[in-house]
Amino acid sequence: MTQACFKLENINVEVKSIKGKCKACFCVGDNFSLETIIPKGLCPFLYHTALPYLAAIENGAVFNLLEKNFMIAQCPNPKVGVAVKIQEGKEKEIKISVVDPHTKKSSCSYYHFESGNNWVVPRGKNFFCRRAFDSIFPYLNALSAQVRACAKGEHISIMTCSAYPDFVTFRLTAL
Amino acid sequence: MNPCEYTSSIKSFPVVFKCEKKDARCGYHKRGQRYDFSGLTSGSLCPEAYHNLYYLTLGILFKSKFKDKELIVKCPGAKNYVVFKVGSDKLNFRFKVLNIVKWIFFRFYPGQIYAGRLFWEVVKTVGECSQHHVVGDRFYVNKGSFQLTPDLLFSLGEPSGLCPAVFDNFFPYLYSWYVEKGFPYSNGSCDLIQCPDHKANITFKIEKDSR
Repeated sequence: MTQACFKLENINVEVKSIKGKCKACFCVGDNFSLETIIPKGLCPFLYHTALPYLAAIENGAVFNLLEKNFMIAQCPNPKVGVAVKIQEGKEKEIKISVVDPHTKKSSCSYYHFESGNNWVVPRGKNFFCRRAFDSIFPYLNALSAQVRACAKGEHISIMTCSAYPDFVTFRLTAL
Repeated sequence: MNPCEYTSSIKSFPVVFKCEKKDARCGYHKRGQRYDFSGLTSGSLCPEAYHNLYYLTLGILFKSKFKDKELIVKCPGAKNYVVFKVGSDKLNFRFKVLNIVKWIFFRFYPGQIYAGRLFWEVVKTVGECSQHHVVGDRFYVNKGSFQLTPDLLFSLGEPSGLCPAVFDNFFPYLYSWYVEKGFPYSNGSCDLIQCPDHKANITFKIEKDSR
């Protein structure tokens, strides 16, 4: 078994245009690297898996009895299977924390996960919109694969976030 | 690689998904069950749109209170695109009976008690949709079946497609799987990918459809 896992290449995310008013306060011409989009030290693939759970819990989802209203999600790699707990904290902050290490089947080769590691997922205007990240994620992977395969042509993707009627158009460019 | 091109690319290399492993209760899959491309999404729903819709779908199923404006979702297309709105139909008799059973045992076995049958409806199209979606098209969210034994599911009248969470977990990797002839960790062995549920650990094997 190889230790390699999914990987994203160096891709620039640019706000190409905005229709209407963007709730996340993006401005045309804003540029983001992947390091600024994903919480530091958190695997982007695990982050993508957690996104629908984050949106749900942030908006009052009832996953379980109130005293243990959390969800556990795991990364898509069955040879690693890092599992994280997603819950709302005492001050209404949304937390992602790594659960017991024995749920892992082998070590993650890129990120150092320990039981108790946690990330407070920022809300509000000073962070890259999670809903937008979810929308662009398949194209980040596709573009990365094209770069690695040295496919011909420009490595650019253009897509929008999923909001409507106000939405943001992004341009992804492989660097 | 722009939206629409992604779907046409993955359609050009038909794949089969086979449920290889199941460790705990899951109302969607039995071991050995196989799905082809048509089983990926509900009906003929565009997979790229479905990926966008799932971001909110999970929360809606678990009683999140999204603002009405948030429940209008567009596909990722920049020039040509389709807009969806959430809706709810009455539950069928089987689901109503199951809800009563779930309500009685909720304290001991908490589970989702559905208020209605969730669907996404096309409310607007701009330009030409490559999946030929038109205003009024409805796509029901697959809520699965009732598990009697690990490999015996009692149908609740839902389509027998893939679990939406599994779809959301591996759809973003399908194109790279094809271009790179497998997942990076596969190293010549089976191409496996798992669902987000760490207890059920539903693991799928993906292979080219040889038919």
